[in-house]
Amino acid sequence: MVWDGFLKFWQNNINETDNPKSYVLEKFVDKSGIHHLSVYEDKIDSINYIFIIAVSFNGKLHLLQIIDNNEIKILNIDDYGFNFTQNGESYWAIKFDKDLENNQNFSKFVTTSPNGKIKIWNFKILNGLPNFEFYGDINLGHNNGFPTCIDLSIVENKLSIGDSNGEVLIFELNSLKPLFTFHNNSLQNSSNSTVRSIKFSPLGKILAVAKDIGNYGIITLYDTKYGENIGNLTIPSHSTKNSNGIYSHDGWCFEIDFNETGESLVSCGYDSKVRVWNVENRERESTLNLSPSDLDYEDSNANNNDDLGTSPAIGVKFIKKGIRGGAGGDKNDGLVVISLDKGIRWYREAGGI
Amino acid sequence: MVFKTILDDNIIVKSDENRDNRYFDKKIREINFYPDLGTTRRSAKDRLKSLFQLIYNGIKNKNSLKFTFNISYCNKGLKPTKKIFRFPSSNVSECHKVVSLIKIIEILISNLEKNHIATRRDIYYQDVELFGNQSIVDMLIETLCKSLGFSSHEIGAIPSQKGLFYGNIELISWDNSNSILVTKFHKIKNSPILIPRLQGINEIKIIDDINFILVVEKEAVFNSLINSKEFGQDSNSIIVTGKGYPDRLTKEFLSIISQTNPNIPIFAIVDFDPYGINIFKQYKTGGKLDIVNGNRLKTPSISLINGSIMDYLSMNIGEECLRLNLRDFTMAKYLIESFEEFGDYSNNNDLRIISECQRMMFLMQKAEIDVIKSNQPQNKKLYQELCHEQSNICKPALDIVEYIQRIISNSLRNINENLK
Repeated sequence: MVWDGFLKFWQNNINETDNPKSYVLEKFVDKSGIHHLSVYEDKIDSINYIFIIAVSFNGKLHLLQIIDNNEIKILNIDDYGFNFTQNGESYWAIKFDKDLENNQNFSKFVTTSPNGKIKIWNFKILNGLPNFEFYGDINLGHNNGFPTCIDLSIVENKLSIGDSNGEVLIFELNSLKPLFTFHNNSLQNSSNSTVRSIKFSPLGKILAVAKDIGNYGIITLYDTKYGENIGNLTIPSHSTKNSNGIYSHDGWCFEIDFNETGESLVSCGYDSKVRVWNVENRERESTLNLSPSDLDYEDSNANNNDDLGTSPAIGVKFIKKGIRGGAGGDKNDGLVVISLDKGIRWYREAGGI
Repeated sequence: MVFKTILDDNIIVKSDENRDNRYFDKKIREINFYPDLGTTRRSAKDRLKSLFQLIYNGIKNKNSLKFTFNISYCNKGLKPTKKIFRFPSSNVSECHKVVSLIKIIEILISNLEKNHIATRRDIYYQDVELFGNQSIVDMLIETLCKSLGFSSHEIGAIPSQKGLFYGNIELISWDNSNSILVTKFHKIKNSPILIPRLQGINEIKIIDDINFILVVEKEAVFNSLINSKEFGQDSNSIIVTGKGYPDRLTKEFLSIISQTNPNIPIFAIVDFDPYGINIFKQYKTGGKLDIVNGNRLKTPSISLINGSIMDYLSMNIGEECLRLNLRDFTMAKYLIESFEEFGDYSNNNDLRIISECQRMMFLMQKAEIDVIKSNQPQNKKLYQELCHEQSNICKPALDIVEYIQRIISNSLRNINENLK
């Protein structure tokens, strides 16, 4: 089962799983389209439970369950402990995190709303059914922006929020107490410094932030314990075009992801590039170039309206070792990339490290 | 705050949110505003007079008043709405509205008796101190029109003209199956024409042979176009702008022109932001149509031919993109939710609108179409040199004209291909 690696979001109403198209599972969720998705996977008494929450463009949450790897069931999220749709609440980013350490089956689910509200729920599986219990909320208010992305680290007891005005906030998860705020420190282009993706490293020691500087994307690493800036992941550039000097992508960087060990970080950008970085020495390890010619469109429908000529990459995730089949699948990480040319690409690490 | 006004008969209508409610007794006098839909449709003057009499008696007898406006729309999916104002009220803005409403009804009656039709701006100037700003007058007259089922012409308070067009047209009205030419409009070099009042007009005939009608969101773009060679005096096109959100008249103009000339394609070019798409929606659906004026405001055949925001980004001017703010974001969400009101899920062209909104939300970027003109500095320089030779021509934005020309020729080609 490769859900955790593969499925980040669908822009259309169809969801696709697995590599060969014959393994595709489809489920219609909402005609307004889906933008965010988070997966919760657990094994209780040798039964696998997989729950997915998807957010559609009309701001609604959809709870889905995958049964026996092949059946997708839509559940009504309001039936499981919390009235999510009350007051016409609208959601944007969401995130599950599983409590691995003491394995009490007491995990968290967090959401952001465009109006600046962050909500936190306890999540557990009770008698085979999902159960949400409201834990608390944080109100950021309208500070000239709205929260765009969220991540949490139960191990480190931290919650982090990225805002469209360029700020990144770190809260303590249990007390919901603010710990650090990383302000948007670029003097120019202050209006264009949306935070696009934030990720805690698997151990929660490092927070990686991808945000815009004008028309470029930059990835910054922060230490979560002391709230210090560790450094940026940048590529060498001699261009005079970019007044900011340094950047990670020649275009907005949409998503970043750590691999299982936290040694590598992958990023993808509007410049149609996917870059893999070494977190330890902050150097670029490799770059993948995407182009629409990589794809073979099976149905002519897929390519009918707007041919972009480029393949801006908007989502990327690592696939854990041992999930991907094929040569070296057990030892090597894999990557899955989603791009605006309506393609999903799978990559695997070459060699047998 | 105290709001008061003196009516003609020296009655002072005064409302104050802090005033002791004891002055008015508990008896509530209901005043209902609803359209006459039966066979006996009374005139606006009679309706307003009888309503005014009710209010007058109510105030004289120190009754509390309750105004109920029943507004129903002929759009599918829009539920009839009710607006309720109370008098006296503890709400400042409600006090203001009620007193203003009474004054407006009085002004309207006296205008109608003199057979005088005023603009809404005129009405505002009758009691600036009370109204405070133009928008409350517009809102109240609009509410009156919608709830009583009168057009603004019938009620005697018309909005000022706002929309502009550029083209050669004839306004025609029907009189017992005879067509009567009312007015003719001709293009004059570089000067836009105010969209005329269309009371009693049934047809808008296009004099010359034109290829398309183009609706643009902004006056600046409109001006660039009509000053250009391609869309200017000798072009075979009609260009329309509502200067932002279109007013009734602009929508009506476009609607009639499309009904009279169903074979001419109507294109719209708006900003790459959720508000631009909402403006397009206004043209297409006519906005919230009230039940009386029915189909005279919508133009279902209009099509949005903007390139995608992605298109725009690939022109490498992303530096000038703006961040989507919360209002834009909410608007985009609303457009996606209400998509069925103006689009069809089975139509690919319509689906582009929804994916456009999704992209804006996802990319969190928007852009204004005017930015295109500052693109391509070398072109701009070249153009400035050219301009020096004919110095007194006002400078059209070359690049935006080029851009619009490109997408229009694409769209025309697509239409031709579809016809084949």
